[in-house]
Amino acid sequence: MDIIGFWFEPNNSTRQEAQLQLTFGRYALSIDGVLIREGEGQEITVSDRLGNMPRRISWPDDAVFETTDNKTVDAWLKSSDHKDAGSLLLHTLEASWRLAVLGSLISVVIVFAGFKWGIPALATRVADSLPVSAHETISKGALETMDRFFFSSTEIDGDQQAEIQARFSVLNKAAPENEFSLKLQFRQMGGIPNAMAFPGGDIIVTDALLDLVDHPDQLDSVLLHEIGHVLERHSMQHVVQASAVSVIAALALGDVNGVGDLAAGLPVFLLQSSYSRRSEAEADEFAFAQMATMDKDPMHFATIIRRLSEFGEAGEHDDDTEEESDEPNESTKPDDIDANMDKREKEDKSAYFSTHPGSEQRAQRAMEVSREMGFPR
Amino acid sequence: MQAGSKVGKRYPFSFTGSGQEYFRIWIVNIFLTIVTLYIYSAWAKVRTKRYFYGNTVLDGTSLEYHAKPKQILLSRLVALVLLVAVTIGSTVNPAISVVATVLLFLVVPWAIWRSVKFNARMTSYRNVRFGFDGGLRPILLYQLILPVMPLIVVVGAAVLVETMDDGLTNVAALFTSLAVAITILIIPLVHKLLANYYLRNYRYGKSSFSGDLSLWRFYAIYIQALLLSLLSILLFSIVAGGIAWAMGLINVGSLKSLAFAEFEEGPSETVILSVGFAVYIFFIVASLFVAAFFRARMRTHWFQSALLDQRVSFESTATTGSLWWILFTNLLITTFTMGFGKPFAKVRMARYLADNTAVYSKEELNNFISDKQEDVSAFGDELGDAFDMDMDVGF
Repeated sequence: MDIIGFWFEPNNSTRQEAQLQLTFGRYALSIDGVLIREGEGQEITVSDRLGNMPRRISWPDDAVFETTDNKTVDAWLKSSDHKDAGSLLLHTLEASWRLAVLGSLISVVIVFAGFKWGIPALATRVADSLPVSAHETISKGALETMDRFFFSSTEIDGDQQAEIQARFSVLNKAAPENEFSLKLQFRQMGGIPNAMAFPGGDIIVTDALLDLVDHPDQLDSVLLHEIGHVLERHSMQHVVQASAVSVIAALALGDVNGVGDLAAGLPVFLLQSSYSRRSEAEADEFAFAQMATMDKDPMHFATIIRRLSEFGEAGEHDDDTEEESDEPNESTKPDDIDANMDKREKEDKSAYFSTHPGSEQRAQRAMEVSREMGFPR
Repeated sequence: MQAGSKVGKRYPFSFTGSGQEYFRIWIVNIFLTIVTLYIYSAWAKVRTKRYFYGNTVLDGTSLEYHAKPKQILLSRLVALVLLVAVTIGSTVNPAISVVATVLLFLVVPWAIWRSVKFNARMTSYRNVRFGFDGGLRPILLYQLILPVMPLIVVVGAAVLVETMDDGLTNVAALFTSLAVAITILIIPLVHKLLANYYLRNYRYGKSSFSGDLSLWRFYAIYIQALLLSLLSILLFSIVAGGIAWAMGLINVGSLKSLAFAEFEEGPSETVILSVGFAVYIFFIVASLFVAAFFRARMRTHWFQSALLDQRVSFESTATTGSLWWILFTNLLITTFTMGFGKPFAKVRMARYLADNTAVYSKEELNNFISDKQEDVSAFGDELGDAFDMDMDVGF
């Protein structure tokens, strides 16, 4: 087999047209019919085939023969059992359209499944395997920050506090066995009704939320929702999920430019939101299950969630402070019951952008559970 | 021979790869990277670089990329571990992200320096490798100290304000605004110094690149880019205001100023969404235009100023308009194919840049001679890559 190409002396850019003769296991290189080099085929290194770009055949002393005749080179590599023939496998993969389509499909499926099930499963495992002290560590700083920047002390009087604490300890005792020490605390948050759970077990209720409550079971349903967040370790799961998503995004998009990042931010945001929505639904289900064992009507959850939602809509013009971006740290932020002040969530159709499932949807679900449990309408 | 002179024969670059060919290489890279849990990414990177270098052809011979995947793999994994640690650390404790950012900031110049050295060393043309001889100190000066020094003055002034009594507050405030002004005003100067440093320290075999970039060209390009940005915002405001008025969204009777424009009735959510979307699209289009302008002008100036071995001069014919069109359509291609069009976009850009680059030389491109060089480790290169700082010094 004869190949024509360019010959380069070691370490010199001077280019000469040359001819490489390849026979079984041997080569012979000549310029203008004059033999320059010959020897064993295994002495020379052939660069990996990649697309249709020129091949570099090089000698240990850095002399190079460059050729575009990929076909003949490949044939020779195969027939002479050359050490560099193995790389042709990759080229076979890369040359096939059928494999490209198949590879695309499998990749999409793996990526989709990874985000939908893989990362949440990983997050659950990590969160479950970490000791309670780890959850308390990430909790402590978050509560301190919130206390410094967002909370003020409560104005609820001691009697009412004691009464609510008593109800809370009943709920706490009824909860499945766990290592968390759950504590209920009262705060004010600029008149915003809200309840939130910190991963270490601190549950915060704002004064304004208590104002919205007109049946004790309404408050209980909210507290159970927050207990659900703590026991199911949602905050730690969010930390793991957020880290996994941002590492994968950084690796996958490593070479996009600034404008590309802008476009890539949206899917990352949507993913994080979908994980949050899942946690909210889980905490709701936890609350419903606990209410069932204590013979409380989940209807109360529907009532309070609707009230919170109405408050959010009414208050959205004069109250823009409760944007999530204001919070000091996205992932250690506590799981609050009520992200409904957020104007993105005004209507259920914007659920893709919300961290909580649409309030009305959650209320409907509560009523459905209530019906299933046989409470009268 | 003078830089920028079109003496001798013109040798144009060309790009011989195709989107269809690269698409299949790209998808195999992605698939194997996923299946091997990121290990294959080192091979993927080398294959990608080899493909683009190997299809960039000058006078019948292509560039070559020589890095070996195994060389890169270790540093890739180290960078990955760092990335994971920093990401988890910052979500657990925001302070960690601040510390990591500061450390990263300090490491960046070193990583860029290693990256430039490594990539130059791993690139060859006609069996002769490139090289980069610049020291670390200039990069530290231009990339770290000069841009940060005014900032330090600002912080110093802030501390002064805290400690001094009222009489000195004005002085401190003056210092602060002066430092901010200097930070902004010296950006083109620092950029020019850095560019000169790169240009003069590249080597092709034993032959050095030389050149003298013009300070005032740098200032001119920066100022023009700034004016372009302002102009586009102004244009947009006029057009958007006009459309809003035409649609009757703004009640002209009560119109005192645009900022306080009152809506006749609450605009529907669809209107707000589409206006928001229009603004988003406009800013992408406009910022791509400014980016294209900046890149085309800088490229032209760099290439005009460079000289290799006193015998080869360079030319870039890339224009703002066509560069913008390619950036914009590439963004559309990538977005509307959910990312699957990216390989095609990348090939289009490579082809355009190659087609608009040429060298002039009176003699054949022969007789460039290699230099013996130490091997450069891939570590800095990959560290830079993992944190998205790949220096792109295109030839």
